[in-house]
Amino acid sequence: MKKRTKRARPLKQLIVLSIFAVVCLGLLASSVGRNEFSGPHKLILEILGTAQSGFSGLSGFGGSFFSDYVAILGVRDENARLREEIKKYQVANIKYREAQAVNLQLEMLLDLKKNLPPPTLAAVIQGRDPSLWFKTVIINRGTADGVAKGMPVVTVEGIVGQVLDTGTHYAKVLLASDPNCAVEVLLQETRVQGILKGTGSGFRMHYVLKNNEVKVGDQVVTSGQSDVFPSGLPVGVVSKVSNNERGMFLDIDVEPAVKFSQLEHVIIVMKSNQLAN
Amino acid sequence: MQTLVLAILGSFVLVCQTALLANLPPWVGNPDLIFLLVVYASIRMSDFRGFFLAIYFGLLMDVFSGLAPGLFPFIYGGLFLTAKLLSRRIIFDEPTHHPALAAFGYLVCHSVVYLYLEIFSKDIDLFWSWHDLFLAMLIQAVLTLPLFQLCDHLLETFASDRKRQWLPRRSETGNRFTS
Repeated sequence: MKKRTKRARPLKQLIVLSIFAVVCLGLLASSVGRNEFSGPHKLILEILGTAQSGFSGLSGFGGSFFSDYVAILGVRDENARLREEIKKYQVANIKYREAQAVNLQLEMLLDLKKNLPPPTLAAVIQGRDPSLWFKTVIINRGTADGVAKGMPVVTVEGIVGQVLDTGTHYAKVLLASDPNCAVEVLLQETRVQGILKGTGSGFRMHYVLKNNEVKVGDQVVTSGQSDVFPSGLPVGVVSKVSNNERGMFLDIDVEPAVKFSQLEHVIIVMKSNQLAN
Repeated sequence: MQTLVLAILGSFVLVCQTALLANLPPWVGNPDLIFLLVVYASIRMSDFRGFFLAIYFGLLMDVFSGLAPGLFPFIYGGLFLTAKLLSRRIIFDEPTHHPALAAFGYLVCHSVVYLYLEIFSKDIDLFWSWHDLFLAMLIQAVLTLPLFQLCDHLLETFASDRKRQWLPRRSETGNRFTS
């Protein structure tokens, strides 16, 4: 058996080689003289093309995976840098908006200054009263700027208060909403006069006789009679009118035109006030 | 040293309160921290030093608040003496008593001053609001313990013998003559 096997192997190889040679010759013969692929060529191309496609896809995936990985390393840094830039732009945006708001406020103050009797002085609120009893604020102007006790303080929306005490560079202003502050006012439409006093959060108008016609929504302005505040400055709007059975005066609540909790910039009307001294 | 530390803390607290906290909503931004410091001084400090601090805080408050100079030293001096008297009669060393003392003291202080000025002074009108008063009492009570803890910590750090530990100490090698 062994001898037969050894003898059969060269024969088998010879047969395989012969078939291979015939196939090659057949392929050669089928392609000679033709400018296009024969059937076997096409078959081989399809098979190898598919394999080629697979491999090229694989290498492309590997290549892109590698390039993506490398890119990710860069993206992390870039991401951090972009985030920093976004933060910077956000801060810049906030500053820009703040500057725009302040600018708008100052423009309005400038317009108001033109309408007020000169001289006037702009000031910034530095601090607020920490106690429950009083309503005062500290401003950044004092005697060095010519500020004196009793000078009226106003803002675009209306009256703010009066200078109460002064230091060299700072002054304390008694807000109009304090119960100790009184202002002579009148109703803009009916010209009914009264005395306005603070109630802590708002105003109350006193000494308006019951026979006067007062309605909710009436505008209240300064009368200018006490020579403290210039006349015609807005004070607030009548928010409630009560007619008590007893007494001869109406109870009139006034909603302030100025939002005292949001005060930032004010104007001091630099006029001497004899009453304050 | 304790007096100086508390005086500096009070000044700092007042500036923060008027310039920073006042811009917050009223329910969180209006704690009367100086009042709490006066209460703290009445509990922790000796008569003379505590009274001096109370008057000093009153003078500070006169600058930032009020109409008539001298009103707040009078109020805080009276508050200090009253709280001191109470703390002698009743034990206020327990931390759990402090918030109640601060809140109740705030109410009593406001009431007494308001009544006094209403009866005897026609020049000064005080603003009175039950809502604001109760809110302030609540805030005072909440802040009492943290502020007292802070004061204790500061006094312990800056005004006690422990400050010597900041300096490098010579290492203790023991007695070299004993084996």
